[in-house]
Parts: sequence; C-alpha cells; structure tokens
Amino acid sequence: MRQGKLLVLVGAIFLVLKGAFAQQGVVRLSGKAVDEIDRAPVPGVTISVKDIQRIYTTDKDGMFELVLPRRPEYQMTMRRIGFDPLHVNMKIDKDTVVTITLKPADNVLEEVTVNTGYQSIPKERATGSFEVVNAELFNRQIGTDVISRLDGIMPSILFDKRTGAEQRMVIRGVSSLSAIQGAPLIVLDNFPFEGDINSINPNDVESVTLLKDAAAASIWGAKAGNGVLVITTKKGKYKAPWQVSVHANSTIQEKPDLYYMPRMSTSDFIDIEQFLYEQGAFTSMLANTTNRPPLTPVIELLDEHTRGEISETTLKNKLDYFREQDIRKDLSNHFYRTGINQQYSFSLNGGGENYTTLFSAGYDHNRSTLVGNDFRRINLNIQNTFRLTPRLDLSTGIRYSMLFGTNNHLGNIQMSAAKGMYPYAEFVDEYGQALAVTKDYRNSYLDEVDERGGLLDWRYRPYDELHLADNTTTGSNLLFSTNLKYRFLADLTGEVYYQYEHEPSFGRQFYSEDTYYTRDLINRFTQVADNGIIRPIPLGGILDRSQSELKAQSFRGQINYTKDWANHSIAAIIGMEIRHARNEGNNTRLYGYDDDLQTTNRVDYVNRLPIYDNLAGASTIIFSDRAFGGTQRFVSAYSNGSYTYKKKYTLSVSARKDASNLFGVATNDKWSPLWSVGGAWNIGEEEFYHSNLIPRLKVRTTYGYSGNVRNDVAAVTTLQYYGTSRLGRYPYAVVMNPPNAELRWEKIGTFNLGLDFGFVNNVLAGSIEFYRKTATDLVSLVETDPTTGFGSLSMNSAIIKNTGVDLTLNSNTKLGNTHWSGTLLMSLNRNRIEKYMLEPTRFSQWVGTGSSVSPIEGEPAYSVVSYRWGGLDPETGDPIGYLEGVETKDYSLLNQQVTKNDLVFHGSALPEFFGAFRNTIEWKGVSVSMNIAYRTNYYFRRQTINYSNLLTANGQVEHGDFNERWQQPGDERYTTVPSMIYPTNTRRDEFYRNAEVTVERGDHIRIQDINLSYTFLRNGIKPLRNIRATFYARNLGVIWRANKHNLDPDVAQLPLPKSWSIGLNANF
Amino acid sequence: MKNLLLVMSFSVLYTFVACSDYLDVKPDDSLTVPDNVQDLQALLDYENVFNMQYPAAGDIGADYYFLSKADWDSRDIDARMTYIWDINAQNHLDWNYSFQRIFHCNVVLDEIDKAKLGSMTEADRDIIKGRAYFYRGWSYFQLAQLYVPYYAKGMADSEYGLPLQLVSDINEPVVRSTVHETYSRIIDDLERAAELLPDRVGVPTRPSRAAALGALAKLYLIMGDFELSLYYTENSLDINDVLLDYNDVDRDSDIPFKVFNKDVVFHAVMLARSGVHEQGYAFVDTVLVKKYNEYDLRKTAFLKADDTGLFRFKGSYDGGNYALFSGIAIDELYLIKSECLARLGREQKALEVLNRLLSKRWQKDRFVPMQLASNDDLLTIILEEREKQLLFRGGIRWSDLRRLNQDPRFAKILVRKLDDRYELIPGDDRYTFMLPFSVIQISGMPQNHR
Repeated sequence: MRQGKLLVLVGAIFLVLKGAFAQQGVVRLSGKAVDEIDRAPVPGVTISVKDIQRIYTTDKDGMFELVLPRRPEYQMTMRRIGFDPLHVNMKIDKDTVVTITLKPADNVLEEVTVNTGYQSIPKERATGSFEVVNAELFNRQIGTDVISRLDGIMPSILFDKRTGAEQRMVIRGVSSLSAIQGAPLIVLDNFPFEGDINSINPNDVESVTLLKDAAAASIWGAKAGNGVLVITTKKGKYKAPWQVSVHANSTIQEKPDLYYMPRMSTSDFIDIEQFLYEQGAFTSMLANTTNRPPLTPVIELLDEHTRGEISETTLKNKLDYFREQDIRKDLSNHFYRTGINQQYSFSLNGGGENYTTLFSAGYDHNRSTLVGNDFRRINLNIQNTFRLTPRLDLSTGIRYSMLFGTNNHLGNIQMSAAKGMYPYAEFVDEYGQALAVTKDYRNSYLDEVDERGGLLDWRYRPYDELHLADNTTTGSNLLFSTNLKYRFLADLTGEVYYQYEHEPSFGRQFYSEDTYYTRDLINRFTQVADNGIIRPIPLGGILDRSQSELKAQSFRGQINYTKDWANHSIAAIIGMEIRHARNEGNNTRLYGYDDDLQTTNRVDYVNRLPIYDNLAGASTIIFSDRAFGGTQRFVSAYSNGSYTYKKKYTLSVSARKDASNLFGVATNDKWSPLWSVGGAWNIGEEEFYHSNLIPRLKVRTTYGYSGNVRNDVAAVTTLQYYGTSRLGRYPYAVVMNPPNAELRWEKIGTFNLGLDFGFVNNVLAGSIEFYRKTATDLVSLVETDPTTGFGSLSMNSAIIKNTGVDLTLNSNTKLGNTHWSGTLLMSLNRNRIEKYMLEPTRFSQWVGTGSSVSPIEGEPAYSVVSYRWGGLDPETGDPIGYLEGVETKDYSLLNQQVTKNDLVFHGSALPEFFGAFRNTIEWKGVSVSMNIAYRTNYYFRRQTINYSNLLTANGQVEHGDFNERWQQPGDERYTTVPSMIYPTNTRRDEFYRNAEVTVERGDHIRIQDINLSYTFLRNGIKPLRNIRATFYARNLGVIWRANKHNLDPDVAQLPLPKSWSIGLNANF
Repeated sequence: MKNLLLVMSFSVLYTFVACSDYLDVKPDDSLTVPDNVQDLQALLDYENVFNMQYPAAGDIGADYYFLSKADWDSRDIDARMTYIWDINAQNHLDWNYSFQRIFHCNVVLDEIDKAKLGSMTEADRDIIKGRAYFYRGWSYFQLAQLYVPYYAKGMADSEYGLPLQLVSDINEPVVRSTVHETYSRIIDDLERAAELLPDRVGVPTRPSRAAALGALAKLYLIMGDFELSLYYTENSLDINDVLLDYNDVDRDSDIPFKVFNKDVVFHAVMLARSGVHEQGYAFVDTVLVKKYNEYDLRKTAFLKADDTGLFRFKGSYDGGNYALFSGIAIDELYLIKSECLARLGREQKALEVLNRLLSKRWQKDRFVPMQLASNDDLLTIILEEREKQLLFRGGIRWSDLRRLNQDPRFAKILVRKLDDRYELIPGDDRYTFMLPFSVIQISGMPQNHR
C-alpha cells in the first residue's frame, strides 16, 4: 500500500483497548481479513455485529480486533466494496483469533479509495469528483507512455490531437485562455512531476486518479485549475507472498500515408511554373548574379530554352519527364517506414511482517516511422517499506530511467528557407544512389564554382544527409523519495516526505565534414586568394552540444487525524510543503571537430569576414555558446477535513494557500488563497430508503476555488538578457513584459453535483455528475494600440463558464461461463466566453480554424467563425462576401470592416459531446474488448488552396482543391473554389479560406482500439500463476463521419497511424 | 498533541512571514527588473529595436527607383499599394516598430534617474539618458515625415501631429498632439541628447553628440530654418568631418562599402518591406543614372549594370545588399551645409563645401573643382548632388520631395508606370500617409485628411 495514505481506518481498533468494557464480561475476537484469491490482506472491511451499535473496521493490513460483550452467539456481517458481503454466525466463549476470507465480487465496479496525492479517501466518504483507472483497465491499452493510454477510457478528458500531439489533454472544458496553461497538473505518487512524462514506465502504474472538481483538486491549489492527474505506482504489500510478473509486447505502426491530403499534380505545378515564367516572375532572379538565388529545374530549363540552348523538343521531353515524378514516392520509400515498438518489463514484489519490497525493470525500444528516429528507455525501480517500530514506518524508493533518442530524420525538406521542395524532386536513383537537388544556389552557379575549384562539393543530397545525420539526445531521470510516518496515537499520525529529483540531459548534434550544413558553411567563408585558399571555418566537422540539468527537492510535513466513534468519524490533515527546483544548462559548438581524435580548431568569432563571391555581406562566424538557468520555488500550506455522521452524511472543507517566486510580483500578491466545501448524503444507508432495485445511492456536491499560475506575465517591467548584440557586440536585454500593475491570478470556481448509484447485483452501476466551472480573471493576449509600444498585451480580460455533465455507466451480465461487461462514457461540455472586457478592433480577427482561443462573448472559447459566403461570381469566379449585408468583392475592406452580422458562428472547435463505449466479453479465459469512441457537436475547417503561396517565385505545390477551381462560367454551380488570378490577392485567398463553405461538421465515430486476450493456465501450475497473451490494435480509424471529404476531424494533418501489438504477460 | 499542533501552526505561520526572501529568487537567471544603469544600457543596445526597422513607407513611394510590372505583381499588397501611392496604402509596421522603440526609450527615461549605479558612473547615467532622448527624438522625427503634414518654420499649426507617448505606462491615453507640439518635442529631445551625449562613440550603433547635432541639422533643413540647420551641421562637423574617400573603396565589388565606414555617424537600417528595395527587384531611376559623370566613382560604387541595360543599386552603407542604410552620415551633412550656405547667399563657401565632398567622390586624378555660375544654378547643382549621393538612403528622399515641392522651382510630379500610369503631384494629400486603420480603430484618433 502507499505510504502517503491517510490512516482513516487505523483508529477504530485500538480505541477498544482503552477498556470501555469490563474485562470480565467481554470476549476478544481478533484476526485478519484476506482476499480469497491471492490471500492478500483486505483493509477497510466493515464488521457489524447484530445488536451492537459500534461498527468495526480492519486496518490497512487487514487486521481487526473486536472486544464484545459475552453472548451465546454473534451474527456478524463483513462488507467491503469489491467483495461479496459475508454473513457469519459465530459461537465463541473465549478470546479467539480467526481469518476471514472474502470472496471478490464478480463485478468490481469501484475502487475503494481515491488517492489525491496527499491522502487516500474511501470513495464512499468522498464528496468530491474523482475518476479512477485501475491497473487492469490501464493495462488494457498497450503503449510506451502513460498519458496516451488514458485516451478513451476516462470520462471528462478530451484528447485534443489537432496539433498532431497525442498527449494534449483538455479536462472538463476550457479554464484558461492559454494552451500551455490549460494542461492538467500531473502528480507522481506524492509530488508534482515536472520531469519528462515519457520517462515513466507505464508497467509500474498501479492506478491513475483524475481529480476534477474543487474539493478534489483544491488540495493542489494554485496549479489545479485544469484538473489533477495522480499517477500512483505499484508498491509491495506487508505479509504478501513473493510475486513475479513479466511482460513483453511488440507493436507495429503503419507507415504514414503521404497521399492522405489531396494535392495538386506535379504536371499542374509545372504548368504554373511555366505561366509564372512567362509573366516574368523569375526574370529578376534569373538576372541576379549577386546572391545566385536557387531556381527549380523547370525554370532553369525554360531559361535555357529561351536562351536557345535547348530545342523545343528537348524542353518538352524533359518537362514531360518531370511531369511524371512525384516527390512523395521517394519520401515514402526512403524517408518513412513501418514503425516497430518493443516493450519488456519485469517486476518482483512481496512483503513480510515488517517490510515490503517491490523491484521492477523495464526496457522500451521504439523504431519510429520516420527513418533515422529511434527511442530507447531503460527503467529501474525499487520501493521498500520498513516497519521500524510498531509506531514508525519508513519508506524509501528510487526510480531511475535512462532515455536515448536518435533524431536523424530530416524533417521537412526545404529548397531554401523561403521555398518548399519542388514536387518533382528525386532523391534516389534507380541504383539506390543519392541524387542532388537544388538547394541554396543555382545549379549553373555551382557548375561554375566546380570549375573554379578550391571549394568543397556544394550539392545537396537529402538521401545522403539522412545517413550522415548524427543527432542524439541522452537523458536520465532519478527520483529518490522517502517517507517517515509516526503514529503518535491511534488516531493521530505525523508524516514527513522528501523527494529529490535529478534529470540531466545531453544533446549532441554532429555535422561531419560530409554533411551539407558543414560543407556549405565552410564554402561560404572560403576566400580564394592568389597565394592559396583560406578557410576561416576549418575543415572537419561541427559539433553542437547541449547540456541541461534539473534538480528539484520537495519537502512535506503533514499531520493526519482520524477518529471514528459511535456515529461519528472525522478525517483531517494539515500540512505544509516546500519545493525548490533549479535548472541549468549550456550550449557549445566546436568547429573543425574530428570525431575520432576529438581534436578541434579555433575560429575568428570577432571579425566580420567576407562571404565567398560576395554572395552576402561580410558576416561573423556563428557563435552559439550560451548558458542559462532558472529557479522555481513554491511554498504551500494546506488543510482539509471531513466529518461523517452515521455513515450517511459527510461534510468536507479544505483551504490552501500557495506562494511562488513569480517574477515581478509584490510579495503579498504571491500568495493565493483557495478553498472548498462539500457535502455528501449516502441515501442508500438511510433507514427509510429500502430499494431492492437500486441499493446503492449517494448524492454529493461541492463548491470551491482552484487557480492557475501564470509564469509568463508580470506586473512590473521585466527584462531578459539575450546575449551579445550582432554589430556592437554589447550585452543586450529585451523587454519581456511591459509594466502591468493590474494583473491578478486566474481563479476557477467549480460547482459539482454528483449521483452515484448501483442497481442490485451491480447489473448497472455508475455515476452522473453535473458541473459548472467559472474561470475568472483569465489572462489573455489582447490586441492593443501599437502606439503604446505593444501590439498585444496579457491582461485579465475574460470569464469563461463551463457547464457539463459526465456520465459513467457500467453494466455486467453473466450467462453461464460468458461474462459481458460494458462501459459507456459520456461527457458533455459547453464552454462559453461569459464576458470579455475588450472590444475587438476588427471582427475579421475572429475568423479562422478555431485552433487558438478567440474570446467572443457568448461563443465557445475555441470557436470556428467564418465569413458569410455569397457564392462565386459567375463571370469571373471571384468569391463573394458580405459587408454590412451587401455583397462585396473588396476583400481588403471586408477584412477591415466586416461586421458581426457578416460572420457565421459555426460553434465549437472542440467536441461538446464525446465519450466512448467499451464492451468486453469473457469466456473461459478468452476476452475480447472493443472501445468505440465518438465525438459530436463540433466543427473543423478543412484545408484548401492558397493561390498566393502557389503563384510566386517561391511558389510551392498546393492543395488538391486546385483541380476543383472555377475555370469557366457555369462552374460556380459545382464548385466553391475560386478562380485562379494573377497577380494574386492574399486577402482574396484569405477570404475563401475562412469562408463558411470550408467548414465541416466534426461529428464522427471511430474504433479506438480492440483488445483480444487469452489467459492460459488460469488455475496455474506452480510456480506459474497464469499466462496471458494479448493482441491489441489501436487507431483503427473512423467508421462514420459527418464530413464528405473523408477527413479525420481530429487531426489537422495526417491521422494518427494505425498500430497492432502482440503481448505476453506471465505471473509467478 | 497540543504542543505538536502548536509547533506545526507556528511553522506554517513562520513560512508565511519569512518566506519573502526565499521567494525573491529569480525564476530565470537572465531576467531582471530595469533598476540599474547597466540594465538600461543593455536595453538600449538591443539593435533590433534601436538600429533596425526604421520606417520604409516614404522610400517605397520615393522616385529614385522603380519596379518592373512582374516584380510589382509579386510584392505583397501593402507594398504594391504604397508603391503607387494608393489612397488606402497601409504601413502599420513603420508605425508599430517606431512606437515600440519609443516605448523602450520611455522605460529608460522613467527609470534612469532612480536607477542604481552599480559599477557605472554618473557620467554613464547621463550618456544613457542622452541616448534614450536621441532614439525617441529620432523616431518621432522619422514618423513625422510620414504621418504628419509637411511643416516648416512659420507655417500654421494643425491638429494632425503625432501622439506623444512620453512615459512607459501602457495605460496612458493615446491622443494626437498638434504638429507644432510634435516638432517641439523632437527638437527638445534631440537638444537634450546633444547636451548629454559624448562627442564620439566607439561603435556607431550608439548615438554620439555628433549624431544628435546631425539629426537637428536634418530637421531644421526640412523645416526651412537654414541658419539653425547650418549651425548644427557645423557643430557636428566640428567633431568629425573626415569623409570616406571613394578612391579607397573596392568599387568593383558587389558589396563595396563596409558597415561602420568612415562616413557613418550613426548606424541604422530601414525595415525591409516585401523586398521592394532589394537588389533583385529595384532598378535605379534611369534619369538619375544618366546624371553621373564618367569619372564620378559613385557610378561604379553604387551601380551595377543588368543584362537589360538597367541598373541595380549596391552602395548601401550597411555592408550588404539587403538592408538600406537609414542612419546619419558625414556626406549628408556636407550636402546640408552646402545647401544652407547657398540658400543663405554664401555661394562661394557653399561651393567650397560641395567641392570638398566631390573631391572624395571623383577619381583623384580627374577631379576639377566646380566653378560658380549663378545662384539658382548652384542650388540646383547641390540638390542634384544630393540625389546622386543619397539615393537608397532611408528616410531622406521622401522628406526632400515634401519640402522641395513647396518651391515651384524644384517641385516635381512623380510618375509610376505599370499597366496603368500613376501620378503624385506636389502638395497631394497622399504625401502624408494614413495612420494605420487598426490604430485609429482602437484609439479613436482622427485620421489624416483625404
């Protein structure tokens, strides 16, 4: 069991010893409650004896002692959620020790305790809103990290994957206007975890608890505004037999489909290039003999043809060849692959009278779908608990992980900084040799340079670069924690926690002399003089190294008081916490580096040196060495307590005050007080309530405040030193924040009303919760008059109201050997900007994709807003908009002066209604489980053509809507894509891109995952307890969608890759 | 137990009280509040703000260059509209960057008097104060040439001045001052800068007294006060009047001039707007090209012939061929001095100053000092030399056009030829740019005349 657990249950037993009864007239019944399956002690079993008022409870080790008045016979009932109730009649006439064996209920519906990171509360006494995922459900998913395993199995959490990231969580709507601030707080065991979440081994996880409302989360105070996710790891148990568990799994991840997004054809792109060439768009670049700007092979051919160097036929043949090419073919064949993830883990745990031990180890190896990228992780973990004296417990744990990453994929291959790669580029020839593509300079210029000699090869071959890249990161994370717990009295314990975290990480990027980066840099600085070649950047490689280190220490002192007597029980904690985190690091670069001999060479960082052929003005050599550091400190004092009467009525209160070393804030303002109150009524326990249909029924409600810390804003002017200025070489500083004295902390008030119910035999059980979350004083970036010196400012400017309902329904049915269980999760969240203090300067700033917050009163925080669409002009194919209700084609004016009535407010860009439906069927060790996720009531904007990006000298291949464009009168009946015009008009493109016709409903249903497992040897063959084989498939795709374009509304770019896993798990 | 609770509560209480020091540690080591002289100096050394992004609108509208139709087509819409002096041309970046700079100056001016000295001296404090005044005055000067109607000594005041932001408080209301107030503020700031700054500086990214005096000379020239302009020019040249000799310059190079060459008094560069002035796009005005004598070294140092027989400009004092120099240079001060002298009737002296400049611009062995003809001729000659010397120098030609248009002898109709023909006649309202629409919308300030 966890050390941090509040001993609500300890008190009861020992009280009796104080001698309320005369020793003569009593009999002592003591013993232990154990689980029938694994013989593990069962804590928290309530023991009631007929005609005796008092209710007894087993302690955390399952021990109990009853001192009973002498009777001929006792009728006793033992209850524990998760186990079948046990009724026994006992005849005892002397002190007796017994072992009570409890049979686990078939349908385990509810974890008994919820862990807030400060205490464990029996769920039946909790007033707040918690969601718990136990180990079994958590491990139903297979994956490398902890967070993405939670997708689709918890209500209230929406995974927002629009940016392509799999781990971005939105909990109960939007309570902050900044995306970074919108993330929940993650707590690992007892303390906030600020290291790399990917360093945690998911096989070490015992349970994950989500704290949703004020009463649950206010204990985490100013950081809890967006919910708290408490990850509890496995620990050993006292007096438990040794157990060994071994896991292995492999996952295959589909190669990304580069053809998913429609794209205009290469041939069309070449036509456009020809058109632009004829318009003279490249004339200046062709005439430029100073910088030698790169031109695509097609433009070079056209120019050669103009100059009469090649014939019409040659031109046509060569262009026809290019028309057949598609860059995606080589990319797909040589730069992407099928990903393979492997995961192995081992754990050993057990415990004796006075100690518990858990040791675990894990190894992960992920071969990414991006060629060149690779990830490995090693986890080691040891957790011990010692009962030093009956009053004193000591726990210690060391968790260590090592991470190795290789990031050699080239990313987006660009032609130059401003221009994407042309779509007919070829990277590999038929013999598998790398081909050169145009990069920073014209090919004809490079030919000329080759003839002159003296320079290194200056061509760019992406396929070679892929193999030359040498970019690795190495990191580790050490977490040492210890905890001392002392029982002053049966009902009073004191605890001290300490945690030390050390996370060093190293980055190493080596550009060998063969890489384009190094060759280009050496060449640019090369001076060819009469007496030879001078190379200010020496031959050899360039090595960039970065190093950073996080060291954090946390300390907590806490006093727990729990007392149960007659009809009353009290549980209270008071404590304080200090946390100090320091991060430091530096970056360095070595020139002329030889990887074998570790030799380097010096360069002149000081003087401006001429650039080869005056391709650019004299420059200094890049100096990238720098150092950085920072310190975070938090101090908190907190307290909470609950009082329960007759197990029916519970009242809870909590208060907390936080302070941190926020910069630029007066000390008084660094403290932020937060509180909550709550109540629960266990109707099921009432005497007047006798329902055979719904025996379990509980209502609970809470109200309170939590907050959001904003580190990025300050009340006084703050400066940040950046380095040395480019020309003057003076140290310089930048204003980070203008003085903003009126800034306040963000505050979130949450009201929660919940109903827990269970039908007879748990055929149907679950909970329904209603909440209202009002976030006030939200800081947002507000457009301001640039005359003040700032175009935008962070100001407390908005109030957001979230209302929502979370529903969880669990159902269980058993038919012979077949066991079916179904879980339906439904979350409803409606967030609206209740108030926004500032008038927008232009209504056109609201239109867009809804990927960032647009504060519009009465609309969702992430809302999709469009220009009203007036169709295409039948004469010209120009898009038509509305300005003050009148049709217009003046797109600039539209952008400036569009009114609210000329806009269409579609609705939320985040699903307002979502959830999952999970079905599991088990039959004789075979289990099949499928999770279907659904999301509705939201909108997304699909991508479309942007002529301004296409029709320029830096043009790049554009969206496939090009084929749908208006070309002749009459087309307006079939298409909404405007005609192509030249010169382009960015505002016209912007108008169409943000018009209502490019918005689609996001509603869809997808198969989240399928799990197929078979448990061999269910009854075990010593020493084996069981073996379980699993097949698991994830991201299987959309099965129904509202949009007609076959797009996955959850992602802006490529859908998450499908993956298939097989796993094996053996327990001894 | 009671004792324990007491201890606990005390320790909690203690934390509340005593943690103030504990919490005063900086969250990021590189952060600071500007409370000492050194920090304020570091702020003024932020070159992106103080030496770059000077306004470009006037130079986009200027007549020393032109764009081909194809290149004009491929510029962004704001640059295209400004090029043809469209009535609704928007140049919000010029406004935004200038006021960002003014805000930074105000941060320094608000703090400088109370800032801790640290390892610096009171003399340093004065210099930093002087720099802030210089940058503020200089920024308002540049803005006034774009967004405020032409103003000269003795002209009637109007309400279309600039909003004068003189403190760093962002909540201060933004209202337009009168034109007279705007100019008074510029003069006041630059005069204070001239009092506080040292005569010379090591690196001309930092302003010197010579720069402040030069700025005042430029301003009074525009205002038509030739006596004061002459006074300040002479004061500035008294500090340093050594010209760069183009005979020493590698004129065949694509980048003939080094950054911080001898001519540079104060280094600044103009905002690059959609590549308009880039060598790849801008052609030098063909009439202007013809004005260079074959022995004039500027012809080869500044101009580069294209295949088509047109010319590109390669003479930026920035030491590269992207950004246009937009600072103050000694050659400009010579031209101001010469013009003022000529306008004040001291022709002989004016010619002498001009000849001193030209002797460093012509081939050494071919230079023959110019002889005086009539007064009118001399002024024309000086103004022509001004054009030949100061083309592609940010912030000069547009204000020259505005002031010379006041005099019928030098007034000029500007013409742009694309598919259509566009004209800008002297005194047109479009010589004053519109304030950015977004600024008008937020602040409610009155827009310029149209």
